[in-house]
Amino acid sequence: MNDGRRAEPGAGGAPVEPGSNLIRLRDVSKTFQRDDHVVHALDALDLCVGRGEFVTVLGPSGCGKTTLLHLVGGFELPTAGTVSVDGCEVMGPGRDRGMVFQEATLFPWRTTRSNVAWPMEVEGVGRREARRRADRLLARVGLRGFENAYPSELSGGMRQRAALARTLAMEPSVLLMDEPFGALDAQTREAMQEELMRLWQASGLTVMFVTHDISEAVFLGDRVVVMGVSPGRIVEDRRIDLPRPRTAQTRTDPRVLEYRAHLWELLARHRAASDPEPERVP
Amino acid sequence: MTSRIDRGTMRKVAGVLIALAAWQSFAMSSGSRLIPGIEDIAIEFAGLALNGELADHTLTSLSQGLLGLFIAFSIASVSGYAAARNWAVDAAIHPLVSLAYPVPKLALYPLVILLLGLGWESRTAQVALECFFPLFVHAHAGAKAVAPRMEWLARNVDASPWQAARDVIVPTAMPYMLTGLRIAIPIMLIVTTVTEFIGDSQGLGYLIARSASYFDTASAFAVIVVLGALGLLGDRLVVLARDRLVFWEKGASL
Repeated sequence: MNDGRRAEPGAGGAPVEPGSNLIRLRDVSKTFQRDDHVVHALDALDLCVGRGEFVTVLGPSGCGKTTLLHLVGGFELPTAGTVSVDGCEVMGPGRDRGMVFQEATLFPWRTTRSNVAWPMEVEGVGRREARRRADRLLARVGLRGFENAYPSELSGGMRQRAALARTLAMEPSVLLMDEPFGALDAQTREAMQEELMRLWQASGLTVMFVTHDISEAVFLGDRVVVMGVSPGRIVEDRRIDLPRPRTAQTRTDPRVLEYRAHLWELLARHRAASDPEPERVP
Repeated sequence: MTSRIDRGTMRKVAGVLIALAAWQSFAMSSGSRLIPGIEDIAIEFAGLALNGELADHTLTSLSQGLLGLFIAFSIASVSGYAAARNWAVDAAIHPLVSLAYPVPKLALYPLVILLLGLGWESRTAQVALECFFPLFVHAHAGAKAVAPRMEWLARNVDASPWQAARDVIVPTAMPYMLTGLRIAIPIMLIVTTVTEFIGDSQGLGYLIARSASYFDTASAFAVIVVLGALGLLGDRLVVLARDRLVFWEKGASL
């Protein structure tokens, strides 16, 4: 729909018509001071993500893809350029942009239900109502029957489902996912990807999903944004023309192989040209 | 499972019995009146327990010690938390604490007596002074131990500082604070006892000093046994509290 379309100069604060870009990064640079030298995590980066679009960000370690997500989340501010969501410049974190971290960040001292209810409690929703909504969200992510389990009693995949449910409890319009399935075994990961597709299809959420897994990027994304290292920048913005809704059958589509081969080659070329920087850990 | 626990318990009991037997044979072979046998200690213990003296002095020592510990815990928790969360507070407090930590605080006791007199106030203050340091260090470490991801989560959810403290930081710091408490309890007993050697005629420390001045070592040991039992009891209570309060950290020992 809107891929590749750049924000017009001065268009940052303008009202947004439906179906247009929800997330805009304009000329965004981010540098970090590390000991005695400056690290250019991102350099003059432009990116737009349409409302309801699922964009995967693919790149090697140290390409700044996590930094990109943190900028949209408002956890970090750009050194130069602007990040705006829904026409408003991002000045800090907000409940409209829900973050899902690589490791499920659940409170070990709360039950699954209580973890999911937490964002609603913070918002001032009554305890009983929050619990009722939490149960509904848990059912949505396939955790019915585990409401009273503690995170230590859940598998890695289940913990990540619970974390997703908790993020959805904020009722965000944007979902920022930072390699959420990176720590899971291959089978669980595929199941989670299919689950996420099912959830997203019905939600209207805009998603930015960071991964270093090519198959994952292709399977999930409407677009795959490929990033290169030092400095972090976008080297390709690829539309993925696979039918929706995507299911397990999608994986056997011959175009998947083509996309994967192309992206693999691209990444290999850019990896060879780089001196790797350690990935910034949140 | 139970048999294994029983075996562990039996080993501990056996260890204590061997130590007691060694003491008893030492006492009997030495022939000195200053080294009492276990039966002498038991008799003195019974005497002190029956005339109510032991209970009175235990109550005095414990109330002073626990008050001091409570004061130290309160101040250490608040200041440790504040220092961990705010760099300006940290800059104000932390260097001072680091500097004062290795100083034997008992060296200050004569000054504390000058300020507060020889009564319970100076002893309580001395206990608080000595217990503050391990409690502060652990409260500080605990409040610092919040994973960055948890902090980001709190920011993402837009939790107020109060909500973040109650729901994220305090639960994270809890195991650390209990560890601090576990270290502070024996210190509380030590300082209470030592300060009671001096001045007022109250408390278990006073009882030991009095017995020693009459060469009544059996009584002194009877009181020492009580002190040991109190220390053990306090320690077990903290461990029990930890199992209840920090149930999610299974298998982690203090």
